[in-house]
Amino acid sequence: MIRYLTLYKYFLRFSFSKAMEFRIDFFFRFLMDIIYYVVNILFFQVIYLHTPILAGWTQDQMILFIAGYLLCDGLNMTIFSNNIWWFPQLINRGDLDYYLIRPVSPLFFLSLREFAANSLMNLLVAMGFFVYALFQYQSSFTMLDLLFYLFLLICGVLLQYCIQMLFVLPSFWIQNKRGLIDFFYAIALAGERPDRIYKGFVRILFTYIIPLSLVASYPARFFIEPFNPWLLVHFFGICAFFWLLMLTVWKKGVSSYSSASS
Amino acid sequence: MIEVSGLSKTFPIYQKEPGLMGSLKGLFHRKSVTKYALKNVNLKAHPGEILGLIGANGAGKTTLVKILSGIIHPTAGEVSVIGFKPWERSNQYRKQMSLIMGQKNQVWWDLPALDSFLLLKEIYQIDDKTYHENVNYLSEMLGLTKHLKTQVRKLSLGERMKVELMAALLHNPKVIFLDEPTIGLDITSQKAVREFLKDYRDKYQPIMILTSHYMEDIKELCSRINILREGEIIYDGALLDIQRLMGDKKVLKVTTQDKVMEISIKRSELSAKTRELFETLDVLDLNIQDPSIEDIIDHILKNGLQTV
Amino acid sequence: MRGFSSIVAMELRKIFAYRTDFWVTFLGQTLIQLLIARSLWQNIFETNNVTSMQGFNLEMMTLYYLLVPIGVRILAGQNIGFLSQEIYDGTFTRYLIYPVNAFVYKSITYLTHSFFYCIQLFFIYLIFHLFFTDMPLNPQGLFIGLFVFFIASVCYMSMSMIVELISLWADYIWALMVMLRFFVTFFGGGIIPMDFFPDWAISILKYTPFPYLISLPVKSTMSLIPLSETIEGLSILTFWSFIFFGIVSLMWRRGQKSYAGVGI
Repeated sequence: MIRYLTLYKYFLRFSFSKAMEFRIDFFFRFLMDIIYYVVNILFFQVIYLHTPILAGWTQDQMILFIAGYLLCDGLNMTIFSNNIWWFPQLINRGDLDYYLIRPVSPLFFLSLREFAANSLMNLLVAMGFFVYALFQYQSSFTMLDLLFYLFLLICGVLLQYCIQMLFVLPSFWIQNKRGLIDFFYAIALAGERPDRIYKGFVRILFTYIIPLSLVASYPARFFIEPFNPWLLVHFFGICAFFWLLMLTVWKKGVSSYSSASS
Repeated sequence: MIEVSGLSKTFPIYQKEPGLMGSLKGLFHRKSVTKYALKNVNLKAHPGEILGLIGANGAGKTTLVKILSGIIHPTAGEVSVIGFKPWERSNQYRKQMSLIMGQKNQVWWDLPALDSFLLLKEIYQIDDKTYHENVNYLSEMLGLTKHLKTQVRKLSLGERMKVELMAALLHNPKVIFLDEPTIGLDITSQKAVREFLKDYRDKYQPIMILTSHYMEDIKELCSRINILREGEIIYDGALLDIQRLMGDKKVLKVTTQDKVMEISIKRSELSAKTRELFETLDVLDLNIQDPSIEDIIDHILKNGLQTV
Repeated sequence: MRGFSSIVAMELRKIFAYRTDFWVTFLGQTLIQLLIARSLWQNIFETNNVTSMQGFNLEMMTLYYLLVPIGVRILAGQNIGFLSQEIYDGTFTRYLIYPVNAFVYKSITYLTHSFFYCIQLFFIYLIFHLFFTDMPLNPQGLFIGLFVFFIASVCYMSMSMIVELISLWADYIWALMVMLRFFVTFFGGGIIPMDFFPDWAISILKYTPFPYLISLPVKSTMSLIPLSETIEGLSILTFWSFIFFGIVSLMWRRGQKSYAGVGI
């Protein structure tokens, strides 16, 4: 474990020394994510011009939810997203070879090797917005509530990582430049809406099959609404299941990589 | 000790018909054909020895190296590399093994070599003392001392290959696979890499397997070679012995007023042919030689062993 | 003309080359985005106990969000980087030696993608129309809409070319292109219909090209606006396209000098 932390320390160091080089691009990317944040906030602002309540939440509660998912997005972009993006190309070009022969978990290496130093700035902005969201929030809450919310959001980030991985891992079997990652980006929108709007089959889809609603929406519900034990069981059950599923598919993928290539 | 017996590897190849209709068909189903990459391969390699693997492109050299290093699984057969089954990829095995692929780089491009080495030190859990000794020894041997703090992408191709070698040897591997380590290098760099490999072999006595398209590499480094053709090993033995396989062939090098010719003939035809040459041509010089190793290998790779 | 058709044929072949991509993007994305938007508006309608808002009932809303993602793809034509990637790696120079204008070639390939997505739109529209609504189908509106989409994609292409050409001076413009897409989708009414925007915002946006890139073609397709308004929008689109193409050629004339060295 300590060894993996030391390794991660090197990844961080490498990323920062690389980040020093391409400055304009890094600024563009920073700006891009800021605009993404603004568009998201504006979207809900416009909606609340026409309805006092959305999915059972008032505007101040909704802002807290938005802040939550922007925080998740910031964490995911900073830690995982870049790595996952390159994944299909690593497989298709056979660059996985060098990762397989190291006495270190290849999954660790591939998932964390590039820390997105530029997204770190966005993460700071997202944190700032989160603090703002807490201040404008009109009900009272305890420190424990807040810590629990943050903890659940972190679980949500890990869940999102698993889901996102499950969209690129098929690259082990299908020849494709980018895996199904575009599809993931298209449906990631599902997690940016409060889960209560989904009914029937769509609800099952986004809370069980592709459980994007659990990433930020469930954590927000724990913070905003009265405690619901069934929700907690659902949340952790799905998180654990997807973690195991991702690991299984990864192992299957590696062994297929090992047996189908030459 | 590396021991391989009855090793085979098959894999599917997908075929796509050309044109728009072909692409449309490809949407629904693909045809696949099973291909043999390796067929019943038996092989042995010992510590202190560099075993040369020779074969044309697609003969299965890289596949064999990938199986031995644990990247891919064989379809059938037994493999034991220093007591491990490589494809189980146990950490003990991976810590004692190293793979160098001339066409792929493993060090971080945007960073100085020394940074990548520090990461490798962590990955392979090399202790401080060994690490410093190895960095000093290797960088001196390879003449890299000045370049360790330069970004790798700013180094020349030859220097980069040396960095790759260095990165691969930091953890004192007992088994080393070299897949075309001199590809694309100029003659001076090729020589330097060869000299280094010889010295390294003498000092550490690892098991080494080398594939290369350059006969010079093989001649200089390998006491024993295995020739792969269409996935099968068709020759196992000393490089020099291969000349005996062609024992009844001789090459006549004839120089006349206006040209130089090389004529390949059977030994039994030697006296008749020379007489004929002297009678028909104004011969200035005549040499009777054994065929060169390059020619023999070229012949074997094209035609197999039987027709020699 | 033969050159033209062979460029188109080649691009179509590329579009078909990746089979999973094709079907996944074709149906999956659209369906899921539609489900998300429909769920959202259904919830809003139910919460407020109304059957329509700003002139949209749930059926219309569904159609609207069905048309938007495909519309965005018609606009976006080719992938991000259709110029900048080639400028970056130096392959753009090869168009300079082809006996065809580089921008004509690039425009044809871009619009081939757009055209392909127009056809896609046509079929998806028909399929989803069967399943999701009992509104009457208006073929006239559909064809006018497809036409407007195509013109809008010419305009969006000219905007993209401006951003892509920035790569003559700065290496990576990927993020700028994504920003452009964010702007166009949001301010063009791709995330919420513009009828829901506050009046002051609409009166400002009128003077930008955004409303005519998404809102106009989508609403034309749905026959939500009179023909006269569509024609007015089309002329505004043409006007903007001319301005943008002017900027493109200006940039290219300036940038060529700084570019000439790469990859030759």
